[in-house]
Amino acid sequence: MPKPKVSTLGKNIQVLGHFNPRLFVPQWFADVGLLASEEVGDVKNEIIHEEIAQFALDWVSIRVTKDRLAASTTRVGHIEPLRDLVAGTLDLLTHTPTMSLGINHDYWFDFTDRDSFDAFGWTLVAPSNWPLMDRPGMAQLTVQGKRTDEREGYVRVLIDPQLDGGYRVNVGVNDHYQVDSTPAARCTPMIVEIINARWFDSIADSQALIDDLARLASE
Amino acid sequence: MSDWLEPPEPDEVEVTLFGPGKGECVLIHVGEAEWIVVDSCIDDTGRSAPLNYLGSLGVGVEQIRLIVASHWHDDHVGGLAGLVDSATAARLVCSAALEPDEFLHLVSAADLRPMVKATSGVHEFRRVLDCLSEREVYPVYASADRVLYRRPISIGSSHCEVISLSPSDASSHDALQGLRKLLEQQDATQRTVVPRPRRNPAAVVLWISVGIVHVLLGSDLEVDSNPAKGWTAVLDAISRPTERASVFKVAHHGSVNGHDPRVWTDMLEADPYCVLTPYLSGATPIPRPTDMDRLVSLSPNIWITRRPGTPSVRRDSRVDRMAKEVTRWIRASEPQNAGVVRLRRRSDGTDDWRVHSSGSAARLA
Amino acid sequence: MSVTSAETVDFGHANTVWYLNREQILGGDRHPLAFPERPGSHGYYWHYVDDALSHSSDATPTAHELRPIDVSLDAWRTERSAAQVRRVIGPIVQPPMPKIDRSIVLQRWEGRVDYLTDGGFVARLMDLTGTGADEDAEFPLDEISPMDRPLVQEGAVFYWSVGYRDSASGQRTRESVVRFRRLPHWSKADRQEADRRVARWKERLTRP
Repeated sequence: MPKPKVSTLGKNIQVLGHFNPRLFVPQWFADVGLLASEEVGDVKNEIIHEEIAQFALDWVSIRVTKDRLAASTTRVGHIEPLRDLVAGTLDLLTHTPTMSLGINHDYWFDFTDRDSFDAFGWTLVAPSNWPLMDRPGMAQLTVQGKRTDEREGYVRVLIDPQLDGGYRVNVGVNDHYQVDSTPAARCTPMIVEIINARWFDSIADSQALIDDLARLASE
Repeated sequence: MSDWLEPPEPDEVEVTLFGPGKGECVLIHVGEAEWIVVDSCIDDTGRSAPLNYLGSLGVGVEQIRLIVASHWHDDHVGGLAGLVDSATAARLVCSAALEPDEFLHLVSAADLRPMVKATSGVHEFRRVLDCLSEREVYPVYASADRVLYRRPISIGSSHCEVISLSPSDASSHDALQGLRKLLEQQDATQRTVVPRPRRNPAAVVLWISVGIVHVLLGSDLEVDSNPAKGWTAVLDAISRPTERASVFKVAHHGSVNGHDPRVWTDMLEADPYCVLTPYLSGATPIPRPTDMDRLVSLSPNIWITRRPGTPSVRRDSRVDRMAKEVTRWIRASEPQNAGVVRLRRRSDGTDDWRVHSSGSAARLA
Repeated sequence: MSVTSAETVDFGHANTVWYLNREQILGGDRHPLAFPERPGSHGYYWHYVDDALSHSSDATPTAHELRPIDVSLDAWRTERSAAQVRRVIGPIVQPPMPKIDRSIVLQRWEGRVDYLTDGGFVARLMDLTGTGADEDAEFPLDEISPMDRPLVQEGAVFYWSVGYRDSASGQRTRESVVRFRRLPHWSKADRQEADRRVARWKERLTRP
């Protein structure tokens, strides 16, 4: 089967904890030196509310709810600035209660034709295991595994086929770290330390997973 | 004659230069199976070049007596922390210019969540200081005219002495001012990494005597218009050794900034054996062609671990094209295949230096 | 999850229906309820709010308050009285994959400014994509965004990527992006930690 074309769609970093969305106005990021003043003068889709704060620049989208801080980018050249933005924010808010961190990597697999698209799904979820269904196909698949480093958490891969005129499969790798067994005062500094220490390995590990899947798709 | 993989005889002196890679390193056998390591580097395999080499000779790390960090720039300290950690019997020597608190503060602050891919000299030093403080072993601080190591003459073994000829007090003061500026920059501005200073007044020049053989390691010391600093301070020091060295590790990668003609006339034998590594980073790699011409005119025995030339980076032609469009120039800073130059000679001087080179090392002619 | 657009549809039970935008669902760490349990026709998926919870008609249900409907909506509705069904959330519409700009990065570097030159700077570049060796380069200041120029100083860190950008309409352009790193200043706690480390070293490393 022809190998799918693999593209990196983007990255996002999510932190679960307890946040006050009203703090995360664009100007705050400029005041603390995390974004340029010129940038925050041109935000889009801004919502600042007790329940949610969100805004977008040309390279990053930020959304903060009471239980989640999320920053994402589809511009692969900006993934280190994304990392710095989240780590820098948490550096300033070290006393914010946090519980977990997700470093998430999103990819597209683009298949050239329906046959190879279907074959990928059937490789992952064998149709022979579903004899009572008529032409069963994988609608979506989530696989989760334990971490192989010494940290708490898991790695989860979500495979989500699309049929919107092309033959595309979204593949998301969720590199999840759980920190809430650490003393509360250490959770946020630990998340910053993990972002610092694991960033390049997280990218490399997710790429290795993707390469494996792509190879599987071509077999 | 000793074979490449054979260790030197107890009465032989060996000077081996590795580099350039991530760092450069000089390994000296000072007789009686005792070794000194000056600076540190990582070889093409990603491992410590001196440890790799000693291992291949069957020499244990416990035979290393001194590790000298002749300065803290990142082109001289690659893998230093690992080396210090492994060679537990060795004393660490660094420049007296690094003794003041300012250097400790710089090293300490620089490592706080750097979030950078590459570590720099100060990051390596942070690990070194952590390692030494675990062991509660203090470094030896080298300054002008200080004896760092001495092995007395005894029956069957040659005398050995290692002396630091720099930094002078004035140079140490210079270095301190430089550290204070770097520290202010770290304090005052947004987080930066410690940049590589352009000059190095803290450099440690070493004079090594084994029997009647003498070796001068020039480090990165440069000439200075102030006679209390740089090479003039070394040459004019009252207690400068009066003997002449037959091996010279050329100062400052052979650059004209590191060249004082009096070193050649007053401290070296005629036609000394000279070794150097190039410095390939920055706008102009050194030694330049004019530097090489000058060296060759001073001695026929000049060995370089790699000929300078623009190392090329193999990459996607699209990236190459775009990178060249954006920048004024771009070149590889760390070549693959570093070279090794090794010299051996009996410490009683009854033979001449035997040179062996490998990798990209070459003789300048 | 939050709701960006609301539309009321009369199912005959005076229920309020919300349409949830797919981009919000794909926010990252996926909430299990964001992904449908059972596909309905035309890719619609149904959830409902637990009728034991009270909401004003304008309130936004939180993610954990949504429950999946295991059977088709019609079948589910017929099993419940109007009073039980306070609100039906759905459908979670899957519009066609939106066309967005896409970047294709060929190489990324992290850079460190070594020194300034006339109208530019020399930097050490460290490869981030595993495709090449470290390099040195001189950048003219013209290549730096005006908003980043105040950050150009010795020791400053920046990121550089080269590649292509494909717009939503399909236009490809070459892209070189240099962006200087922005991190907060050292905090008081940071300085204290650095001072403590120095004190430890001095205690153990002072000459006897």
